[in-house]
Amino acid sequence: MGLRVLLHETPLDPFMNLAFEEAFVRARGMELVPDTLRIWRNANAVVIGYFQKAEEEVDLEAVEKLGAKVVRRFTGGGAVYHDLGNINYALAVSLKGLEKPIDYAYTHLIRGLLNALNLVGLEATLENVNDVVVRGRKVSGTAASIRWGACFIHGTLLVNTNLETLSRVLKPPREKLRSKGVTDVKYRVANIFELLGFQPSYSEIVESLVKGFEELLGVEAFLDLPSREEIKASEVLYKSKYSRREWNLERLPHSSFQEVEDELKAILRP
Amino acid sequence: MLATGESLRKARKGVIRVKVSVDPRTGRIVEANITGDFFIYPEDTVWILEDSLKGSPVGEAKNVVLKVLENVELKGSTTDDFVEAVLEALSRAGVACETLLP
Repeated sequence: MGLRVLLHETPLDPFMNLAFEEAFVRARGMELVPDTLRIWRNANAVVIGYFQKAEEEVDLEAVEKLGAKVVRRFTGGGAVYHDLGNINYALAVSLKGLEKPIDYAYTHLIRGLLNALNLVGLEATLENVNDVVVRGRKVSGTAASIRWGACFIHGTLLVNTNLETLSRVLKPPREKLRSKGVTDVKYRVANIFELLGFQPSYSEIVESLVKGFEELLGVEAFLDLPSREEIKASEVLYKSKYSRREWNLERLPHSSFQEVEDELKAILRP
Repeated sequence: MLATGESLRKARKGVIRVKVSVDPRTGRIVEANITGDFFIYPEDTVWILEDSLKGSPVGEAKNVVLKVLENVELKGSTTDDFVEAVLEALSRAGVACETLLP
């Protein structure tokens, strides 16, 4: 079986985009679909990590003024701003045979993105666990998870994001902090548009990502549409979790959304 | 009245924020909140840690953190970062405790 590629996205509805993200990982974990690479965008959203409180990380007033939405993802890490200049990739693969799946995601799977950047002409390196860096500037944030029976990694790629908006909506805590811990490593972010000196098209980036992950996994990619189960699951997740303020703004664990689990059991059957 | 304390710990990668409230009469933790942009596996250990801290005597907090984080996988932070973050929040609450006690 090759690498299934989904370009399924709902840029105007970030809640649905993140609901689908969980849906396809669960479908992979239940063996309903093969290893899948998804490429997608949001038009105007702040996406926060599983352990973050919205009010601590996001300038909610600025978000409101911009008409952006705040949505939580199911992986750890920090808050990011998404507009159409940012392209997200997400990869869900089988857990079978993986002894250290977290390391596999952060040291191996992440290299699909490095391959893709090389294909567009940028030499990218991996720094500080999961920062993807080109000429000293961070162009991608990554988070991995082992959940629902799948090994999963996703990340952003700043192609031509409005960095002014980005800095307006995200609170910059670190500089203001009285630091007692280890000095943290923080790279300034940059768009690859700036680093390349020209604007790559959306389809060029998509092609490079697909080729980058094909090379990495040694399989051939094929374009596909979401399965009926993935769509149904994403609708349940949207209604009872990702469109709700309790999930997005508070910081509740998955277990607080038990009705989702019950409904998904009926949809995602092996 | 409860004494509250807050801390913010920078790990090699990311920030760990802890908010605690302590009952100065019993010396026990009433509420613990751990948020931030760290990476911990399994992820839901964060809530297990919060629940384990709740009800613990302040002096036991370090052992509770060490025990809960015994078998987790951290990326970019260490168990010690979590211990320090919790202890610092508690020490701030402790200062508040002294002002509350008769």
